[in-house]
Amino acid sequence: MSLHSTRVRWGAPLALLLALGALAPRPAAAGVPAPAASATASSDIGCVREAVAYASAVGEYVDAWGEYQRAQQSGNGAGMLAAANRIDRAATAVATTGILLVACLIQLM
Amino acid sequence: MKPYFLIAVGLGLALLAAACDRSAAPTAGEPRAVTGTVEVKLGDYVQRFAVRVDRAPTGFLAALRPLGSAAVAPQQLAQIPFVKEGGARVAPLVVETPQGTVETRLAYRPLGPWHVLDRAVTSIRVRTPTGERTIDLEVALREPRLEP
Repeated sequence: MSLHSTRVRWGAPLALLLALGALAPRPAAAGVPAPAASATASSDIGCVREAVAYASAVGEYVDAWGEYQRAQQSGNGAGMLAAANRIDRAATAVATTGILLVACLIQLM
Repeated sequence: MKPYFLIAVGLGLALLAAACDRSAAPTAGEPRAVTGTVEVKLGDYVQRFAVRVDRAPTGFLAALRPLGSAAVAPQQLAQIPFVKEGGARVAPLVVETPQGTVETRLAYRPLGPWHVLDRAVTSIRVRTPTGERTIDLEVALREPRLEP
C-alpha cells in the first residue's frame, strides 16, 4: 500500500468527520456575555425609535392627566370618565413602549 | 468495503461526540429555571405577572401569565431578558429624543449561577401645567427563586 493510497482511503472519513464536526450543535451563544458598551452614558447607543415612541406615549399620558384634572375641576362626570379611560389607554401605551425600549437597550449591553 | 466501514465508524464517532457535548444542556445540579413575579409600575398603574424563565439549549425562555387584569401583552414583556448568564451593567443608558432625554437604569443581581433583573427604571422629564416632573416606568422582578 503506497502512502498516496493510504491518504486517499483515510481522506473520505476524515473529511466527513470534519464536516460533521462543523455541523454539530454548539453551546448557546447566550452564555457568552457580549462585550460591554462604553461605561459612560451615551446618546448614540441606538434604540432611538423605541425611545421616541416611549417619549410620545409619555406626552399623551401627561396630556390625559391634564384633561382629567380639568374635567374634575369643572365637575363634568362624563368628561371625567372619558379622561380616566384615556389615562388608562395612555398608561398602557407608556408601559408597552417602555418595555420595548428596555428590551432593546438590554440587547446592547 | 473497507472505506464504507471507516465512514460508518466516523459517523458513529461524530454522533457520539455530539451526544456527549455536555455544555449544550444543563448539568446535573444546575437549576432548570427561575420563577418570580414581574411588576410593571407607572405611578398608581401597576400590573403583575407570574414569570417562569427556563434554561434552554439556545438561552433563556420566559413565559408570563397576568395576575389579575393586565393590558400589557405578556409576549412583549417576555422580550426582556429577566435572566442572564452574567455581565450586569450599572451605568445609565441615555437616549436623546425630540421630546426630551430618556434615561434607563438597569440593575441585575446574582442568583445562583445566573444574574436576574432586579429592576429597570426608564425616566423622562416632562413639562406639565403644574411644572416639570419626572415620569418613571419601572419593571422589576420580585422574589426570584431558583427552580431545581
